[in-house]
Amino acid sequence: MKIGTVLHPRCYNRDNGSMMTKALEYRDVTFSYGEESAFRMEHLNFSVEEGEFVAVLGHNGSGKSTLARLANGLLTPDRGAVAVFGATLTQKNLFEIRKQVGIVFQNPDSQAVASIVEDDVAFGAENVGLKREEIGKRIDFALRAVGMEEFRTATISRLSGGQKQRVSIAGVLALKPKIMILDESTAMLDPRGRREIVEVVKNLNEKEGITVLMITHFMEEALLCSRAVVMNRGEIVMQDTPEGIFRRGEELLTYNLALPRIGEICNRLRAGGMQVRDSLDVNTLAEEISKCVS
Amino acid sequence: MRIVAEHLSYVYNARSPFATKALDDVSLTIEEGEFFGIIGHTGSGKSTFVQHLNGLLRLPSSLKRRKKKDGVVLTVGEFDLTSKKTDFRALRRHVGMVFQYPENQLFAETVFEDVAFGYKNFADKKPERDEVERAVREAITAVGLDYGAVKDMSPFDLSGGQKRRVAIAGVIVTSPEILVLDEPAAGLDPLGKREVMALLHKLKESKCKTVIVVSHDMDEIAENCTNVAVFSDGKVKDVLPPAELFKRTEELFSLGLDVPLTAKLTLALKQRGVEIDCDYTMEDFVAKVLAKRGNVC
Amino acid sequence: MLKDVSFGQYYPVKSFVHNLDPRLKILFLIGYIVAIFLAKEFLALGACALVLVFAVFIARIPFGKVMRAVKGILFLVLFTAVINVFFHGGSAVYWDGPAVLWEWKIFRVTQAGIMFSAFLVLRLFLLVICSSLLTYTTTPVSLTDGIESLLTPLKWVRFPVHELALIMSIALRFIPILMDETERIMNAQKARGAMLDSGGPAKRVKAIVPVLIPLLLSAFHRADELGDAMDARCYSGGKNRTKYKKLRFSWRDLLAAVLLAALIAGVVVMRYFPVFPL
Repeated sequence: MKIGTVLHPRCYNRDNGSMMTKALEYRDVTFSYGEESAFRMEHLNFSVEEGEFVAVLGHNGSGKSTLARLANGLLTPDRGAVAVFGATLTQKNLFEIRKQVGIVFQNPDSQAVASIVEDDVAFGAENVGLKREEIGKRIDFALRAVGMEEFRTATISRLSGGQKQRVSIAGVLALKPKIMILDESTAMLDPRGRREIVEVVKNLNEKEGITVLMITHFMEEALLCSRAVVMNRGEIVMQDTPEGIFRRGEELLTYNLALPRIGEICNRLRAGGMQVRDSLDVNTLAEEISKCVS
Repeated sequence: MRIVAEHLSYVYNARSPFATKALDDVSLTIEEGEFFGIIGHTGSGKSTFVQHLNGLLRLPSSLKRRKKKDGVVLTVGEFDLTSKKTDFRALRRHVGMVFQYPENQLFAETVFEDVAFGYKNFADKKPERDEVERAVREAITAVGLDYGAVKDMSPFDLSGGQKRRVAIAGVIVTSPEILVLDEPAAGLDPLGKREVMALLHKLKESKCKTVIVVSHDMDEIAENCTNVAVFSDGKVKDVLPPAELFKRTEELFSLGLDVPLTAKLTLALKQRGVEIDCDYTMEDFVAKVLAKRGNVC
Repeated sequence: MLKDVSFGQYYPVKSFVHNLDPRLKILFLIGYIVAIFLAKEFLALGACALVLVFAVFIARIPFGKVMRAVKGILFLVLFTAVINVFFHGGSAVYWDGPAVLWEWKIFRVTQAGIMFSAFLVLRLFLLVICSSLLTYTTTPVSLTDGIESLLTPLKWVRFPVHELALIMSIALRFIPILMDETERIMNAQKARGAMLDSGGPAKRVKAIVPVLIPLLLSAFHRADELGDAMDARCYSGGKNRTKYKKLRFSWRDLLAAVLLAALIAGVVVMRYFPVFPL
């Protein structure tokens, strides 16, 4: 391992000659849940640049959640290391790292410790010992960022699923993380809730510059990301732009994944002899089709 | 068995500050043999409605007294659910209900015992061992699992998709005529989703005459259903086959509901002057588009 | 939905009582209970009742809500009262007529017995109404905050006050969720023909297994996820932790405290200088 990469978060990217900052880096990580478990992650190397919006796809049990939990020390690698902005994660800097890497989990009903929105959002900020005024400001900021200001004193159990998850995101945001990981945070929501979350997260990425790792098995959600990664049996098997990934439909099937429906329609049209280009959104495909019908 | 509901209303927590009207004068008929879809977003009353179908929710007695006046009707085949004398156990045997995340209700030590649970419960007298075994074998095979391989396994050692199949087997083991499923594909990965929907088609042909699916996934609804009821604010807005329903894209959007991808594409094509008249299944859409193909491409 | 009808749940309106410091409300409840038990005559208890009726009134809790709390213990109270009527004995005379009204073997109904039972019933009702007033007007969070704050002196003897308060607050948060979950699982098993509300005790215990196991599994699963979510938000126990909400005494609290003090003083005075002794 080069010393430079350990000491300096900024390293030289040979491909385009620019300075890139690695927000999150898995260096040769090996991990298992003990002898009985069939799951193995071996020599995983993977990194996320600052400001990226990466989707992680994979069927249930492919290692997506393990990847998330390794990022902030909820799990510790058996061998290898995880680094956040160049700092290797150790027992000593665990809490510093956790401030920088927030995780939102799957179940909207299992993440809140308090019954009232603002009390729950305050939890993380209280844990790190911030002053009262600062906590107040953080709550303002976090609730505004997820569009829940008017629910500040609402009872969490009376909110909709999407709103509950937005509170979960706010609770993480109150720690001002630089990286946010969503571990299937949309899986238990209805379409409306899913849209809410995707919108909020996209906004955080664009406006607040937060690096996002979005674990999901909704193929449609992956279309919004700048890069998509496919996991299978604890291994990263595909890495590309969403378009690039979905061009390889056959390969996706072997990992128990499916094309988004729009990709499937493209394929079927081509199989029927209509030469439409791969398009991942409705308007582009409609344009392609309308070119082919006179 | 035909399902008829007329002027059905239901209020949660009546006479409290949290009183919410979940159903508001709902009238709906579901014919035998339908693959019936129910859509509407969370809190629109669709789950409340389906829970009436096997008597898990019942008409409050105050309503029963008034029912003659208001003309409230709720019948499932021969069962009159507004009557006090209804044999709800017999009803539940004919109306199987698969809840959201049904794998969360697995409890027994083996897959066999879990699937047999319902069969034993509904038997009038203690059933013979081989009788139970036949029913369980049939149910497990029907959901596409290998009976010999899974029957002695703990249900908790199965994968997510397998667990869900076992849970469905636990409901169809009594061969209900009507099978009701609330979000049967929720939480599964894309392939698991497709497999479950394919399974429902198979079950409809082999075991259950009527299948009722509550779903948020409009693509699923468009691909599978013969008729769709749209719930909104406790009311039924419309009951239409998907081919008709998804023509009303604007109306569905205004209710905050989505439409299938094929409907979105149809709309986008229309804006570009290309009229496609399909039933919104992917197959029909592709066929209709290809039929319009000019000589350019 | 079971969760909305559970006893003693927070009743969300704005009022003088809702705005009181939770610590004061807890102390008020304790003080009030002391007053009830110090009261020796109807006049004193009547004063207590008056204060409580006033508190309920300004708390804007509907009368029916309060009565529902009483209904829960109605049977217990009446049972105790009946026992007391028959076995109390005593010879005091409160109105014209014989001291002993009716007698048969060991049963003896006396004027004193009737008065004593009535006194007991009133006492228990006041107790229940006052406690439910606390839970109706105080959110779970401020209640646990109040308890934590009141128990702070115990930190000196290394009692895990913060952890206890957190456990209480999480429990309160998850009760409605778990009740919902129980209902869902019960419905699912009923749909599979489970008879959960019929048969003898042995049968019922057996019938509970299909509900209990999924419920426990789900609770453990939730606990796991909650633990991860807390860890991810930098939780490391009470050390170096700050609090967003500071409890503060205001003029309201002072007013309530004065009222309570007056009540207790009055009751104590009447105890030693009875007006109409019981």
